[in-house]
Amino acid sequence: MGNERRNFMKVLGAGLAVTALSAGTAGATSAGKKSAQKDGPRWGMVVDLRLCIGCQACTVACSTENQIPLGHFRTIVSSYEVTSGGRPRRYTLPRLCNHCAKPACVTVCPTQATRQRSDGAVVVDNTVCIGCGYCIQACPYDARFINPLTKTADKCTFCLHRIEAGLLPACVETCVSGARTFGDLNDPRSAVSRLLATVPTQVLKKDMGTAPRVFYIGLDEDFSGRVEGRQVLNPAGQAEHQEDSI
Amino acid sequence: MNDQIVELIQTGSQVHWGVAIPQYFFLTGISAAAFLLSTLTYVFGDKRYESIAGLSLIVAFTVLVAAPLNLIADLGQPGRFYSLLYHFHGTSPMSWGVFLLSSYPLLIALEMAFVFRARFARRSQTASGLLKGFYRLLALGSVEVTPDTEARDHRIGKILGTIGIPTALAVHGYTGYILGVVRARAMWHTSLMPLIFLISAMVSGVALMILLSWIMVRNDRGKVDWSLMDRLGILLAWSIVGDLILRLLWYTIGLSYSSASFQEVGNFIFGHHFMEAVVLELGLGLLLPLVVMTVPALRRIRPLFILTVILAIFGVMLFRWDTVIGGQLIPKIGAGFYEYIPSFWGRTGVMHIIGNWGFWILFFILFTSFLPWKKTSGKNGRANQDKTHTDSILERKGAVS
Repeated sequence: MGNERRNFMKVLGAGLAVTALSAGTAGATSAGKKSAQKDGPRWGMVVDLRLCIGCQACTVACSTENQIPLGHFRTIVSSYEVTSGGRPRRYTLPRLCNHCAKPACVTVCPTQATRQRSDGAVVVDNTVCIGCGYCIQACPYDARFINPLTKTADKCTFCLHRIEAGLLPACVETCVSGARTFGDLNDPRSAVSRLLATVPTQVLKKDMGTAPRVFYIGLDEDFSGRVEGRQVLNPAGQAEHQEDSI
Repeated sequence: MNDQIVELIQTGSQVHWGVAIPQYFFLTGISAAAFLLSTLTYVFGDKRYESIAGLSLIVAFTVLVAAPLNLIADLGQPGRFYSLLYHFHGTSPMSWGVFLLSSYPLLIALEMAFVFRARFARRSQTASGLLKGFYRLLALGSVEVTPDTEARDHRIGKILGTIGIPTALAVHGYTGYILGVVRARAMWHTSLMPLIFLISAMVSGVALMILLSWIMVRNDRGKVDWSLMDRLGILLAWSIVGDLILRLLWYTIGLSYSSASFQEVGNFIFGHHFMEAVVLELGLGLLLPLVVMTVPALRRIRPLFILTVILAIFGVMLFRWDTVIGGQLIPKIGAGFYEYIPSFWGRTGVMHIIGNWGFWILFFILFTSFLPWKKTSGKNGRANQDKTHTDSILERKGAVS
């Protein structure tokens, strides 16, 4: 919590929201770089679901930053209406590539086009990828898609081009409530490491054995795997038949 | 804890492997099964299947020329398919498959060359002009036919056939392996998948060979060889029994003892997809053919026999569809089930399958018209040609009566 408050204070103080926000959290990142130079950084993210308001600013920022073709997403905030004890509420769950420590997608790639960098980011070389879609099948998180422009597999890169320029991923920088925290997991002083050390966190589909490096705070068990519920809209935006509900 | 969940916003990967993939799986299965049928004669020396041995080999080869086209067409970057050869990745079954798919047709082609060599050699002796040279080329340049050369051909054919058995099992088994390793898809993730694929391949392959025998193979009296058909029918019945046993193991262990994610598969197969997966695939595709093949009174109703054989072929096609497409209709993260209706045109369309079938049929007609697959057009026995020819006629008459 201290991290967000500090950010907030900086925003107020500097008046330049964007610059200040990136300086605030990237400060932790660059500090991480210095201390963990032996092993190099291991990027990771913590998503605080208590703070997410489901505004989809991350979705939009990502799509704009990475020029994602219409209808495809590297990150999205899944939204649900949950009724418990007769009281309805909204539940939001930002999803992105988990940059797993044991990525199922990398194992099955027949051309080694998708690989894991030493900093943990799982990337696709779209000059080598043949677009077979095996990684898409293997990913338990539906985090990959075939980009209709490159006709190869596409996914979240943690905005490596921004990280290498000392910036934060677009989704993190734009998040209005500071729900997303990004940083170096190898650096105990980084914002993500401090969150992981102080707050209980969960990962999606733990039983898949992929060891995700995107952690959640306040993840409801009903949403950690396949969500058992009623689908009102399918991803193509067409109304789904009522009898398809479980 | 939560009484009701309604999904409002979600993206999903939906169906990425469209019509081409079940079609490919179906065809490699046919190829493996047809090849194994040919080894009954060429490796195990069972003369009862001799009249379809050459034909089986041709089916195994031609189908495997048509099958990989599905894979290439389904790639996002089809022009890069050859890069699979030099970007080998040991942990990816698909990467291994490329090498199996490249070597297996070459192996069959080589076996065909030796199995048919004597017949090509004889043809080159009688033919003239360009055709003479063509047959000489097919006979690998060696146009003499002596008991010694025939014995050599037979021996080499047997060796190639023997190597071919594990290769054929691998070339189709790996397709099941491709699905089996995908932990993210509960329907696919079972170690039984390669075996289920192999045994259902036997069902479709044997059934297709029965159909082709009915259309193309005639006995010495110019009639349909029903004794052969009945023997193949029994083989079909055993394959179906094997298939049903594996299904029983898969479904019961999955539903009763597996992780919760298989419950969704159960809901899908036995609920949402009941018509396709249970009524058509298990009922009409497996149980009905099993009953007809095992009850002699029903088997002798020949139109019913042929009809159930066709149903068995379609049943296996449907199984491939229900597994590959059906497996993707169960969302990995989203709620409910997806729906999938293939387009008509395009690489994911119905015309793709029809075109692929058309390509195979064209190729098959071309091969069966050029290759001397009919038993009466020559012998590859080791003894004197006339003697073996008479022997085989006697043998067949014995089998027919």
